[in-house]
Amino acid sequence: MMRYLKLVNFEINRFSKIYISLLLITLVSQFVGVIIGTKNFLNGARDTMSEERLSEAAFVTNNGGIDFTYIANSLWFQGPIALSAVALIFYIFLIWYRDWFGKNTFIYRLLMLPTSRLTIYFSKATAIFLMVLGLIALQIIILPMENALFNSTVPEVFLNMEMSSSSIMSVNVVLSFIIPSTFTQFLLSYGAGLMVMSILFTAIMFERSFRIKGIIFGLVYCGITAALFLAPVFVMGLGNFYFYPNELFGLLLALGIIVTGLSIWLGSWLLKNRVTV
Amino acid sequence: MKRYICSIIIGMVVILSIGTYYVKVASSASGLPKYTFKTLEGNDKELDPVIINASFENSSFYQSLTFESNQTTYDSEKSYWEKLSGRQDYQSERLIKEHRSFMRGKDSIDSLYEDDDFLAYAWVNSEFTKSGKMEAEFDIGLLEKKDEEETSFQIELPNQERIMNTYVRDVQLVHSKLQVLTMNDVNSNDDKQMKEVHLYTIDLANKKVLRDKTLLSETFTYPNQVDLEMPIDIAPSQPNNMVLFSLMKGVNHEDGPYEEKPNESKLLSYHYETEKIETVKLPKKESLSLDMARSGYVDGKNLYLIDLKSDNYHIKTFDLSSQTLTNDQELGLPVNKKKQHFAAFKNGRVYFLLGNEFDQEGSLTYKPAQLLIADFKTGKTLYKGETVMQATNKKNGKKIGFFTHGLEVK
Repeated sequence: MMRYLKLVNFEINRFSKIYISLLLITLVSQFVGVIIGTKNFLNGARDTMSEERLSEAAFVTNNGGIDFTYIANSLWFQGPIALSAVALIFYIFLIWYRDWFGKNTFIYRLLMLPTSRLTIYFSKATAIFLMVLGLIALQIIILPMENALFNSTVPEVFLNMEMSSSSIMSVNVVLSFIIPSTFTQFLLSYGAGLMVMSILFTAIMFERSFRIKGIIFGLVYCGITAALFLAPVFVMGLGNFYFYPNELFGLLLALGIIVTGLSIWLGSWLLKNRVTV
Repeated sequence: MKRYICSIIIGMVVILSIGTYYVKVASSASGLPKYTFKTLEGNDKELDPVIINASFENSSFYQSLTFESNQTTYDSEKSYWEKLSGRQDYQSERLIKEHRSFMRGKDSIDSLYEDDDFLAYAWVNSEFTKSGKMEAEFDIGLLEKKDEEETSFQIELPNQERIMNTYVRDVQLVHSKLQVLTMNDVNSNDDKQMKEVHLYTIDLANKKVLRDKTLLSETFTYPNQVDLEMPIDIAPSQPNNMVLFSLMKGVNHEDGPYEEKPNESKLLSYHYETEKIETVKLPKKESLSLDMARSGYVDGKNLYLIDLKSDNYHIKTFDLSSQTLTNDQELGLPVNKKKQHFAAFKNGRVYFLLGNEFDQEGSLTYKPAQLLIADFKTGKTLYKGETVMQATNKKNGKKIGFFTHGLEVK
């Protein structure tokens, strides 16, 4: 257990510089987005009002007011979320390959450790997952602050409504995807995320085990698991059979657990028996 | 310990913030305004079976909500499990509960027929082949309720090579033969367009189509236009003797708008027993218009028309077999032509909702919606109320509209 925690910590520390940069970029960019977004709107409103000689109330009736959705849809706001997502998806691969292609082929030492190789596998998975959740946590913490800043800078006449953090998250497509509105959905979404990560890890293990041939194995494995997991959806799409929503849910849950289990088992088996340095 | 500080901080922050967030979401309201009906008259118990599907919306914001038993629930506030099964109309929900296996994949209420002994279903499965032709077949299902015996089969749609689209609009079981009424768009090579109403008679025992009868066939070329519609069926799956459809003819003016030709438009009825198709004659002196009939409600015996010509709303009952007006019920609600009305007939009552008021510029105003529930026989008002908004925050909701999509009664 201690070894596992040490390894997780080690993996996080190795990525900490980039990770902290991602956190800072998100923090700065989103706050700047709130300030610039409201400024733009208010300046635009002022210009229109002086050009067309409108009162504030008349402007709002003609052009509509503003609410936080306006900010949440801007590039300043969503850009850093996309950047972080891409960076972490990329790191799913890098977390393995940097050990092989780093300065002094670190994988030698890692695989020589007197610990089961499954621990190494899990520690890398945990590190990535924890970092993803860390970014989500940051968003949950800063969104109410951004919202408060927004509500205090926009004069009340222009404000469509004061939204709560949870309603902002449920209205915005990107936010509702990364922070689902119910805890059950949160568990399911991130469970599906873990499944995809375990499949990708297994594909990487295939490549590390069989090199060029392994890339094909890896791709085939991704295809098979996707087909297996989505089989009930295909059956329904082809019109052969109709599943009630709760049945479909049960099937996908069961298949998801099977696919994840299979991937972890196969991945760790390859790491133990087939991976060459 | 110092070496682990980074991971410890991340772990703590993750658990604390995500944990608190979801605890807060589960335990507190979303801050979206709630709507309830304020009773102006009558007993608010009458509200219990009323379901209103609506949305709370403006240009950048859309939240659908359901109003049930005088409580507003936003879709976004529902638990995952509630969202999973989706929103279904009350009738389908009951049928799924009672006949889960038979109802699998059958969700169109117009395609279902139910009496004391049988539940029947007819649908047309169609797909276009690569050569652009349609291949279509009937998907037929029959459930004998007594012993839960299911029969289902597919049969080819007759004359399918000439059909482009087909929609099942009514299904009846008459003398143990299934009657399937469809509206078809017919293929044509030139500019001509053709719309038809067909009645297919299906022999359930021998699994074949006995007859394909064309009840109505209309050919037209642009700029002329023909539309076929049916008044809202308030008992779509129940045994009905009669079915109504309205034929609308008009012209699309070159650079002007569409104009109807009222003299050529008509309302037609088909009687399943006598197999007669007839033009429904609306009594002239009662000033019942075709427009009223089209937006009326039908239950196989009567057509209920909503009259806006007096000071108060009137609901007129038109008997289809005798073609006479049998009842004229005044509702205790003054006519407001700016508002849209929704009606439902159930439990011997009429449920009447007024909402979605638009201003002169055509944008939605945020005036309250009114609901009236009256005894249909006596016309006595049992309940009258209007929506009030309870925003958690006074600033909210003023500029955002409550838009009604539909009214349902349990």
